Amino acid sequence: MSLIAVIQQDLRSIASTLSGTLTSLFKDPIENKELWSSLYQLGYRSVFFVLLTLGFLGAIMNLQTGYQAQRILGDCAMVGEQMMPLLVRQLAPTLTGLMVATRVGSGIAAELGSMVVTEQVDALRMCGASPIGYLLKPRFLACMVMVPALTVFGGVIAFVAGLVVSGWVFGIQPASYACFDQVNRWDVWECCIKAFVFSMVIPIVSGSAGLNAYGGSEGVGEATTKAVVESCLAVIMLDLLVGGVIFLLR
Amino acid sequence: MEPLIRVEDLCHRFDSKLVLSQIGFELFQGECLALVGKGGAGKSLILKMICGLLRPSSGRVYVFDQEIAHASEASLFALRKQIGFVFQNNALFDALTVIENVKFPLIRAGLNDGEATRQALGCLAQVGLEQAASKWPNALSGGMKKRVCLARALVSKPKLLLCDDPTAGLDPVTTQRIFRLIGETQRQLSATVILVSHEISALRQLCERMLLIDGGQVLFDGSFEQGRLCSDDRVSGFLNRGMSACF
Amino acid sequence: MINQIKQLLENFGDFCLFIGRTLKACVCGSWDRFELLRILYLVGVCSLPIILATALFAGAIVATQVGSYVTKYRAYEVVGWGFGFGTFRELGPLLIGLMFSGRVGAHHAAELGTMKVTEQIDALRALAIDPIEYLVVPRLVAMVVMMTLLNIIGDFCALVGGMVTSYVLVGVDPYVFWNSFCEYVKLGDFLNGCAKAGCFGVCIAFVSCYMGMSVQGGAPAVGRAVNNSVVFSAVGIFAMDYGVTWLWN
Repeated sequence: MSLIAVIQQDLRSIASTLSGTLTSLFKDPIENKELWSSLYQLGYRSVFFVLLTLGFLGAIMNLQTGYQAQRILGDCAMVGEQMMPLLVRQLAPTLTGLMVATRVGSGIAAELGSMVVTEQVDALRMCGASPIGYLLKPRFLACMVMVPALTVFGGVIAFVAGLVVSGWVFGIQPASYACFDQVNRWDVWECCIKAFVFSMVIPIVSGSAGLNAYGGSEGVGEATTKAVVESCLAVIMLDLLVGGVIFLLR
Repeated sequence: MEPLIRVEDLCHRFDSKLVLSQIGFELFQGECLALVGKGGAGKSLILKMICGLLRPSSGRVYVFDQEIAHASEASLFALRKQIGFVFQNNALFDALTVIENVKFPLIRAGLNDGEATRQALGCLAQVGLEQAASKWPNALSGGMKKRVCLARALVSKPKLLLCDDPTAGLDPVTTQRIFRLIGETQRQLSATVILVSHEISALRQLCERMLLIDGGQVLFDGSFEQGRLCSDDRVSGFLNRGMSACF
Repeated sequence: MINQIKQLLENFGDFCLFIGRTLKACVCGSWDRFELLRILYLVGVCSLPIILATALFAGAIVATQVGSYVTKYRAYEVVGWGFGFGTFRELGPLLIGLMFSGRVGAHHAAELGTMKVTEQIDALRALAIDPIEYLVVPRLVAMVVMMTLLNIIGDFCALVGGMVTSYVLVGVDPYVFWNSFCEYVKLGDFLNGCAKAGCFGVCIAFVSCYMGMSVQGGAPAVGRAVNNSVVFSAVGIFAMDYGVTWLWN
């Protein structure tokens, strides 16, 4: 199949998964047990991962900007002040989004994909439970709660890591680093909108990849790979879209 | 008498390859049908189409006088409550214990937890697994998983039982036991059964009628005795080889 | 808790042994040229479209972010600097690396995992073929080489994306952009990015091959292996990124 045909088919299945999830959101009752286990699996189990990656990210960004500021300006007192808006509107939501897409997206696809190929999804349908309502909706709701929470958490971690690194390497005082004067309401809005959009798109894209798995263990592997690639790409594309629109609005 | 299942002109294609063409048969209340054929002949596809898990490319399937090839998913749910399905790969839910697996269909049908547990335990006792109720599916052997799967299919007292190769990969003793269980439950519930299997000799004891699928078409429809004496040596050859392989 | 830590340490030790065996096979073993070429092709050519798209978007994202600083201070002549340093050193290799881990690393973890659960790897052993020499070494080489090359191609793609976005969104003339880019961005920035990409390639290759080769169980285990592969690759990428940034200066 050509690339275009594959993209078309994937977009169609994502669209049908989205419409299925949205209709079941208002129709079916919520599966409490599945919801709690999803909240635990997708949210709590991602905390350590987000802590590690966003911690490194905050440190790296401050190292890079610090070195550049030293080279060009000869003074890095402004680093904290200038980093804050970037952290709020870009690094925290996008990188957390990417990390969640990697961790949670592949997790959802692996789980649903292996349920499809071992006929568990068929068994669910035989018992009168729709796969989207029973499996995907709790994960969708869990992501809606957990992605914004993880974004805030990731932002705080990156901030703390930056604070430590800039104090340690460049000798910047914590008080002068933690300067939020440059952050305006547009930056906060951008962060919120991005977190909201990513929290919707990640479970839908990866759920659609998982539910459309076929074959044996290759099928599961393929679905998981597809979920990571497509949800990361979706995060990057939507990031540009949201960022561009807000840049033009402000 | 109206047939319980009527399949007409059923065709199915994957991409452009025709895997089922013009399958047609009828099945009456209380009958036990053996669906046999070589691997990859499309037997599992037919079973999945009968309960609406898969939609055929063309043709009509009537189950309990309801056309299901084009029915909506919501109306299929009501129908599936009366159908039990034993899956080829067991398809037990990994995230639930054995008892939770068995009572799952009852809970979905709106029964309260106590009553559902009581009925599920009864069903587990019937397949001889009441002591395994709180175990996880991963901790069971192949034969035990199959019996749990059978218990889950039987718990809602179905009028129609579909078994997709219920003895794949099992030893002869367990195979005998599974078939005996299926036979017993059929008599108890006076259910209609469709069995897909390769164990010709066991099928012969259980089913009065067989349907041989070959190359996506119905090659033979009738009793085993007629099949063995059939002039078409694809049919008699298949049956005789299947019989001798068992002994 | 103790058991978990013990398990973690065991896995880590296993991973180190795996790295050791692979490096030994790299140096001592014979290289299967056809397998290597096939995997180079698979890794490089098949992931090109997705990497190019990522790079294009990465460039555009950096350009919008730089643009908001540039418009605030009316410092249009440094847009190329901000962009070049942000993309070449940091966000370009990082995003390309994450995408590479998702596309290529996950794919190979799934492939090796499937081979493991369908006993193909045991079959290789039975034929007296060392699975590490035959399967892992070509993948390692291909991933390191292709990650570096894709990063170079991606850099140019990102440059185009950044220039177009700066012109359309921020209103910076491409000529001004190009001039400031040439003036401020040094070869070192570019090489720093390439070094990072190479390190990411090593990390992704080891993690994904290890995860694939250590699968046990059926189809669900393959899914979990792919999940673990991308998760640990991402942690590795960030750790490597920090290390290279730190050492380079």
